[in-house]
Amino acid sequence: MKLQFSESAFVPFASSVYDTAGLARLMGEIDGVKRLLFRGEEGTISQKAGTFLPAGFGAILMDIEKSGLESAGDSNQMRFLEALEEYLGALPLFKISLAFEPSVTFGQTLNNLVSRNVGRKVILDVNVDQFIISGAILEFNGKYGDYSLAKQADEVIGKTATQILKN
Amino acid sequence: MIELLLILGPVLMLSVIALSVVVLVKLSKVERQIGLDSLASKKLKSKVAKRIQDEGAQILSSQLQKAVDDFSRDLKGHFTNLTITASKQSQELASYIKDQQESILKESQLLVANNLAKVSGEIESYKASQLKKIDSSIHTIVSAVAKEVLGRTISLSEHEDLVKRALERAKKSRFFE
Repeated sequence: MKLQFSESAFVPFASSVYDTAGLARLMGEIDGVKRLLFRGEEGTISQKAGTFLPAGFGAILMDIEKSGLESAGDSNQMRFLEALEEYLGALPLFKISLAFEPSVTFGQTLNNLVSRNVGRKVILDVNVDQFIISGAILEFNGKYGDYSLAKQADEVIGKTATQILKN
Repeated sequence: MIELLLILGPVLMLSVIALSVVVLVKLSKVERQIGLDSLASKKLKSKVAKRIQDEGAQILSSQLQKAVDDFSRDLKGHFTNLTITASKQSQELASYIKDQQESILKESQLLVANNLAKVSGEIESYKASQLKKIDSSIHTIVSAVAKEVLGRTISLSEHEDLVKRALERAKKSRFFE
């Protein structure tokens, strides 16, 4: 589908998510809002959704509406939401393995760092693997980079596991 | 049949002897009637005895030949029956062996399948127990490994710093380009 809307209307939504879990949640919210259209009501999407509008999503949507980036009418609003889904679905995935579960704050920081380095907004696909000990393993655009202590740990892991199984 | 021959042989011999005796008695009567002298009588008896002996031998030979032929025919019949019976039994045996082979094969397959399932189950069980062992020790392992690799345990903020440093190293190695 060809985008008929300004990308600037979609950027705030994309900025609100940093990983695949957040993106899936946002997609679900958009899908839910789509079901609230075509009910014979007038107004903006947020007005039609009313109290059913999820908080975070609603706040961004209302800002967009204030800026006049959202079209009027059920069909146009549906096209807007579909275009938003398409935009979000096209964001590149950046796979990163960490030794710990990142907090929301650190996840956002990490996403900003990676997006800056990549040159565009990315969605982190975070994998937690305690055995990499520290650092990170990166996979993006067919590239693989091990910046962890996984290799050093492998040998020690083998010895330790064997010892535990013997006991 | 052999028994028949054993009985028939002596009976025939006795018959020949009895016939010879009867003929000799008759000859004695004839001699007396016609008044033959002693020498002529002896010659006549000798000739008649030889004739009787030859004919007896011929009859005996013919009877024996007949008995042998009958015996051969019966024997041939028996052999034919025996061959037919043996062939039939051989077919039945082959069929039985084939059935047994199929049965053994099926039983073996079942046994192998059962054993395989049993062994697979045991392997899975062992694997699960070992994994459980590892799982329950995962934190111990991670701590031990981290301590051995890093020389000490590290805090969450240190972890975050190390990830940032990893990204810097990735940038320097042109990973993002």
